[in-house]
Amino acid sequence: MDGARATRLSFLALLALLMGLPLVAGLMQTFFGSTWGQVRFTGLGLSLWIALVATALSLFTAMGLAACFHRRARLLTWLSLPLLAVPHAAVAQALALLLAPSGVLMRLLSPWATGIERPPTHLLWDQHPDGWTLILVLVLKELPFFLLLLLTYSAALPLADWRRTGAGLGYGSTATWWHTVLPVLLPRLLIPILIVLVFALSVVDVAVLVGPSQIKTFAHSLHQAYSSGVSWGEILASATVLLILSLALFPLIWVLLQGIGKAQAFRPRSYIAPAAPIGGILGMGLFFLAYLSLLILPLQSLIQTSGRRTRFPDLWTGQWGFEAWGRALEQAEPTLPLTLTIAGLATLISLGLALGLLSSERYRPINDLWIMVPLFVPQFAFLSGGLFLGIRLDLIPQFALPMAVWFHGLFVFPYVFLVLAPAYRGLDPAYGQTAASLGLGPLARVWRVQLPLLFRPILFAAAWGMAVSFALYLPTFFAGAGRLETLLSEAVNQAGGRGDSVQAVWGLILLLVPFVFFALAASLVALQARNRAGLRGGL
Amino acid sequence: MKLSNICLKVAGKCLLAFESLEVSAGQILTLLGPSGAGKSSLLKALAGVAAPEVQLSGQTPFDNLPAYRRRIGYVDQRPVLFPHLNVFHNVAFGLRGPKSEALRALAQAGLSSFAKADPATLSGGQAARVALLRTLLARPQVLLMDEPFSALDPNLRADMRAFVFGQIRDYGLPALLVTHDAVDAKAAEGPIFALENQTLVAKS
Repeated sequence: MDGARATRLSFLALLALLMGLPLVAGLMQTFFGSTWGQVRFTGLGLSLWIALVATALSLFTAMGLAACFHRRARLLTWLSLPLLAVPHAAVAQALALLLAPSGVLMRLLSPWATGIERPPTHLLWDQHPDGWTLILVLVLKELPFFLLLLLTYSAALPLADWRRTGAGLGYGSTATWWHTVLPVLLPRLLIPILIVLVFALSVVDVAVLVGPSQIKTFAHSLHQAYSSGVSWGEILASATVLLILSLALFPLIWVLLQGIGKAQAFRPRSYIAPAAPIGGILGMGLFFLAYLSLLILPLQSLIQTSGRRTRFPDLWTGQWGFEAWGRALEQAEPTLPLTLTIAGLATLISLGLALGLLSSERYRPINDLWIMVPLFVPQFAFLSGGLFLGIRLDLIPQFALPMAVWFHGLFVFPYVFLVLAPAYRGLDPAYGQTAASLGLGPLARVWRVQLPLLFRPILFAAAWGMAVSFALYLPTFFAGAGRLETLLSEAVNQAGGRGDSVQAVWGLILLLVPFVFFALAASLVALQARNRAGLRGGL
Repeated sequence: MKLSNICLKVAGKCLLAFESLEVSAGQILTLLGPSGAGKSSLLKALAGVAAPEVQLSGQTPFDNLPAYRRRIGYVDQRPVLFPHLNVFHNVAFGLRGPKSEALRALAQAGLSSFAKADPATLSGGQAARVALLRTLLARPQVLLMDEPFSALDPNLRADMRAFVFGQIRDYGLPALLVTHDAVDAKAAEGPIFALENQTLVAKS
């Protein structure tokens, strides 16, 4: 076995160990360690409802937008990218401020339009038992994800030719897209749909932020159970239920996508004509809502409240200031070092692993599907297995930080790899060959040729990794048994217990930190490429 | 450089075979042949930078050595300059002597004023000269050239030919030139071999 093959095997083994071990350990313990009997189903139905409705709505609106405005793909991309980078928690905070019973929207409309003088109780933003608030946050976040995928995939199709053919048959561009492009793209969305579904099934931080005590989803109840000291066996068995449910959804979604694709391709135009415009209009409304709520954050953060909420229906107290910033930053500051340490280490390890794996692809490319497993398997399944291992090996809570880095790395690695892979695979092998013929050994080639040439994708992959880690709640919670405080966990812990202005600052912190990572990456890349035309463009 | 009992295999199938080939110092041996005959693959395999499915069997001076230990200068059809380095750092990449050597080489090639330039701003001929200087300054024991003039326009080709062949003779390097252009072969003033029926036939 030569060196390259040995390297490949070592990296694959390491990856399998880091990713597979918690999953396998959890399953083994559940099925052979007699923990199966401790399974709990609280909130499972609600979770499934929220996940299915949120996924279906975000996909439908993305399809509608793509069908109606695919000629404005650039604009849609620019509208989607910032929302994609914003953590779910920031959107939840922003929407809560806008739509809460005493939120900005109701204050704007009251009393002149609504006749309401006191905060209403019948508009139950944070108390809706069907989880509509959680669904709304999820849809706002997943709509840009689906839209970007649809635009990217459709860019590879001969859209102009199909439009001409459609026009010849009497179809407009929207109907042509719906009839011809959609059936081609839908089967390709299987994995993205599963990723969104599984995320919605497992999400905890958003559920806490939009309804701290009201939305009893399955994941939320497991989270509360762990907080109140329920045995890990119960968590493990329940997480396995979630895993089985996700696996069962796999073939169901596949069949559904095939069916919808065929139906859209062959049904008469009159039957499906309204679907695209309805989805498009709904999608536009959701984009408007998302941006409106995010734009309100800076204004709200500057309202001087002296620790109290602004009296309803007043929009502001009459004074502007940075009082809320001071209080929020005071709360946030102690959590920053740990947040950056966990994100930095998880990203660094993920980058090393991704570069190692990609460099060993000379013999056989790696199937990206394996890398994506942590994205379409519920976080709970990984984390409860990891928790079981951590407790059995006496690593939790004594070694909480390394455990947190591992848990974060599980979900950071796929993103880092997927961002880095196209650039790495597209790197002209002639550079490495030229360097080798000039006498540079393998390590010198990596250091002097590959890393500088991949500087741009590496930095953007690192920014993605940091942003993903920053937005992870459950991995920190499980690794630290609730004792590790990152920015996000602090934001979740204090949900509902702050004034609106402080909450707005927290929303802005959650919103801006990922942008700082990307801005830093963009600045460093610009610095490297300032006098080098050959390094510009691409990723 | 002496090569004996060579068989170039691509995906297990012998694409090109010959018994013996020898090039002496300062001599340029030309391999002529149609596209797809295996000329480029032979050079890449000799340099140790071929794809894994390309295998070379037989006796060469570099058997079992990794590419970076073979001290073979390899000049590709298109000049490969590192886009993150300026022209001077490209020329000095792999340099085995003092940095002043790179500056002197640039001056001799008439490229001094481009030392700090972005390689993307060079013309095709300038880039080809930079790539060749870089290869020569790494002090290889053998030089392999794969259609080094094919990407240049006809006016530049004669100048580049004179420059490259002059440098090879000055450095006293044994060189192997792969081309499908008979003018290149004649200008090299060395032995010429043609690829016929998967083997090499001496033409002069």
